[in-house]
Amino acid sequence: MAGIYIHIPYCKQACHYCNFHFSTDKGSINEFVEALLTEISLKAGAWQDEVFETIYFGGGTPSILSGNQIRSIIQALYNQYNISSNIEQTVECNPDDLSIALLKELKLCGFNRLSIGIQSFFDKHLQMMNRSHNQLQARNAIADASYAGFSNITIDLIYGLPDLSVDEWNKNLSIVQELQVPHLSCYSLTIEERTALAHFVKQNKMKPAEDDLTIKQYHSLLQWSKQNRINQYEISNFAKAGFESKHNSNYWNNQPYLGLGPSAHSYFQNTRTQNKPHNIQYIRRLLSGQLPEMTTELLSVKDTFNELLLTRLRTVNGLNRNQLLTFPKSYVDHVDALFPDFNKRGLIEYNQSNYVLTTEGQMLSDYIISSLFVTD
Amino acid sequence: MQHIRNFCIIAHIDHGKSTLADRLLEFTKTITERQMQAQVLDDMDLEREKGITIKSHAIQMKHIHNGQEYILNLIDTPGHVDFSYEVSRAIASCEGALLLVDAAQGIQAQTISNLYLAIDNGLEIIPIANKIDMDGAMIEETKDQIVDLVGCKREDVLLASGKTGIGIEEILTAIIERIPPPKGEPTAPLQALIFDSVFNSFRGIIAYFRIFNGELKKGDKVKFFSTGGEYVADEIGVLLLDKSPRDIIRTGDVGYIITGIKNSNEVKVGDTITTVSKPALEPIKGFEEVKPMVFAGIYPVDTDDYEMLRESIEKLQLNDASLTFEPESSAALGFGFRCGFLGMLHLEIIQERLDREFDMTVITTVPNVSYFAYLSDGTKLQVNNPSELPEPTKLDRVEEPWISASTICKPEFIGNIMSLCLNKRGILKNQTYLTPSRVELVFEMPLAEIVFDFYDKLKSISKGYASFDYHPLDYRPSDLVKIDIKLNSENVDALSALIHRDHAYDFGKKICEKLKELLPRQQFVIAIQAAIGAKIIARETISAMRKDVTAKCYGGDISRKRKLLEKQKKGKKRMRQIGSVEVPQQAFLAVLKLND
Ligand SMILES: Nc1nc2c(ncn2[C@@H]2O[C@H](COP(=O)(O)OP(=O)(O)OP(=O)(O)O)[C@@H](O)[C@H]2O)c(=O)[nH]1
Ligand code: SF4
Ligand SMILES: [Mg+2]
Repeated sequence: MAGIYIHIPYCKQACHYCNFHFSTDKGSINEFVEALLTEISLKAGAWQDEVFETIYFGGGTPSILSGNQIRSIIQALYNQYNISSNIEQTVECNPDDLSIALLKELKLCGFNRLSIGIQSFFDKHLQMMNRSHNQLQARNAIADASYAGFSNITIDLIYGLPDLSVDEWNKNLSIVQELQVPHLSCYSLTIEERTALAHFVKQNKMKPAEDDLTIKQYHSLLQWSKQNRINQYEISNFAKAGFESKHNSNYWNNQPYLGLGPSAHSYFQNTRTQNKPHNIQYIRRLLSGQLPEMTTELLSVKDTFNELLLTRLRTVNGLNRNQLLTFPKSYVDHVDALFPDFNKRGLIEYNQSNYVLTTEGQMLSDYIISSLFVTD
Repeated sequence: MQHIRNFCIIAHIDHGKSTLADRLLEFTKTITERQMQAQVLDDMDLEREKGITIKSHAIQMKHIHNGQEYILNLIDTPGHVDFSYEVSRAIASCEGALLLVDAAQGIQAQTISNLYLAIDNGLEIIPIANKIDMDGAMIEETKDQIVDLVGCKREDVLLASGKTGIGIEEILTAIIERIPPPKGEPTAPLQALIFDSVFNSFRGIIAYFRIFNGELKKGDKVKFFSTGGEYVADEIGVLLLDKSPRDIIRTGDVGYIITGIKNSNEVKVGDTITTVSKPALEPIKGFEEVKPMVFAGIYPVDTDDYEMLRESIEKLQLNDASLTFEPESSAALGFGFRCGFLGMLHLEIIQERLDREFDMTVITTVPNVSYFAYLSDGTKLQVNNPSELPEPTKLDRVEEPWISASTICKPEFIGNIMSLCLNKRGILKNQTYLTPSRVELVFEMPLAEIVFDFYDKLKSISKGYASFDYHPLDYRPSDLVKIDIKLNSENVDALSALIHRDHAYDFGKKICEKLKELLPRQQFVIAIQAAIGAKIIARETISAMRKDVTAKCYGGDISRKRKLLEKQKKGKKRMRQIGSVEVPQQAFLAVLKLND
């Protein structure tokens, strides 16, 4: 179940909360696409034994590319890699980019899943986050996507915003239901270091939402998901049966993936490699025929164990004990020693050989997971 | 002996002692151009980083004057008031002193105190207006001030710049012509004063001495007066930039001795060395043993490191005789040591040296001064630790140390400084105009009041201009209370503090607020309380953390997040568990940062 991730490192404008790798200087896009095509060719040989079941265009903002550029990238992939006929092919889009023409082009390129960055259906939130679209464009984008024949649509929403009431949040959720969107990613706002938001908070220009309010919104979300059978399958992900993201599930199932573009990560047999997050250097190296600068990390048994906890405990199916037992006994003992207390506090349960976080536990998942980590 | 001169360089902090020493070393070719770097004698990492001298440094120079070679033994001293005892040790081994005054700043508090120390010890003073290259140098005014203070003639004041090298030759000439050669009887029994010691992990303790009478030969059997210990002088020599072995050191000269001693108790700075074969009858009158001013508990972050901490502190003490320590234990922190320091800078330096030189990260408890408690039955107890303060019912009275504090400032700041000192329970004793634009204020005040934030406040209210110096006076009755800090009703003994009753409420409130800022939120509510006995005088609460969740966890997020959580977890390991509350190391220093 291997996957390909393509990172398109450009955006129209910088959203205040975002710490992804992107540039708002689009002057180098054409060269970037050329460089990306080179990287695709240079890495093809090493990945010949894999059959890829998913392709994911993320960013940044992939929809910033022209239809032709997207087509050339897709063609290169299909020409040089083994792509399964049962491919899940996703592209992230911003609502203001989604013209009918582009949608049609994406369809022709074989995309069968659209991920639309909506974040909120209220203009005040969109402005506060410095998003490049408004609520009307958001609704239209979803409608147009269905019209263009996309049935597998996912949208992103953010809760725990400084200025988001529980009512407004519920309103956002009901619009998702109204528009019949089958997959939803909901992110609790994280104030990441070195973002505009972190700066505003430090300067007291913005007050982060109270934990209790964010938790209320999370509870509403869970309730809504049950009522509408858009089931939670990971802390931040919800889908109607059969619409779960294969690409993202791969990450949580320890499957190999090839990452292309600046900042993208690849993972293969306990080795994780990251392309240097630097557009110009990326372009320069590839256009002179060299691979981009990469950092490689060989995951130790301990690292693998910690990542297993980190990914599996966030899923609704949880962490299987048999999988735990493949690790050194001292690691398992560590989990066994901490489990009873977390269990007593109602944060984690053990059902049918699986450790699963409760709703309270999900909200404290970083705390629980890091406590279970083994460190030296 | 006629051709030896022993002198030290004394001044207020930062007036350019070490820089001037550089120029002297350069001019006399004691060190090569290649070895030269700014403030070359400040060889400790910490000294170089902080740009201040912490320890005295001795070095020998040779200089030819009127066709005659002279041996000049120089001791550079620190300027910070915490280390004034280093100055007194240097002064005891010299016949003369260069008194530097930064011409842009004029006479400051330590200029005066160090000058009097030198005069009391009968040293010949060579006054120098330094840094005359600076735009703001007030050469004539500084000369006036010096003439007034030292009582010398105007033409006796030399002009110099350690930066450009102006005046260096004149200074060397003055050293030779004005400072008397050492006196002493070369044939008398050996009397050598130990004025410093350092520890070398290969050679053991190296003692620096000045010979007052007699001479010392390599291989001599020597005896240390106060300890009675007898050793063989394995190696003796003089101090150049490095140690330079010699076969004999003669009367009046300065040198070092290595005897293979590894134990710090055996070498006492201030002790006298004599020979076993021809012992002197009595020691040289040394200098007063240094007394710690401030006490604080030092604990290993990891309780398992107690033994290692002991070894580290012992080793530090070999180089720093002013550090005292004895074991103590705390319910919150486990086993550690109650250490005595010369002042807050000294405390900070010891903490940093433990970290750098021994990789020991430590937790320091609230510092306090040393009190005397008198019980109703007449017993007198020394109290170096809040937990040692007896129950109020058994207590007759407590006495605290007082100091005489002097500050020199421009007249426009008098008002601010007066109100600061009065607020710190000070009593104004004297106000003298040194010149129309500089006034010296002398206060008596409790030592405890200058421990925490006095310097910072003094600096800020005088725009950095007021200088400060103090010396201990006596003990006086004090209305002292013990403030306890509780986290979820659990007493944190390491945060207890002894405070004058007038400041207790304010202190309690501030420390609760500061802790609220410094304690990380946990999965339950944390109540922070300050109490005097059973009475709660201040309270803050930290609400529970109910949300701690990563939004996205795909591809590259996985390793980034894993590393982040691993790092946070490591940080937590360094915290102390008080009941159920995790307390980070810096929270124990909350008290020191009350006004940040
Ligand atoms: N312009 C000028 N600056 C000087 C001169 N002498 C020293 N300085 C500067 O003054 C500062 C303090 O110099 P030091 O030589 O370290 O002073 P110190 O008296 O040894 O300081 P402590 O040992 O900490 O008391 C440094 O930044 C020097 O560069 C001088 O003659 N002219
Ligand atoms: S569009 Fe997406 S990648 Fe670009 S700044 Fe906004 S959130 Fe970040
Ligand atoms: Mg110095």
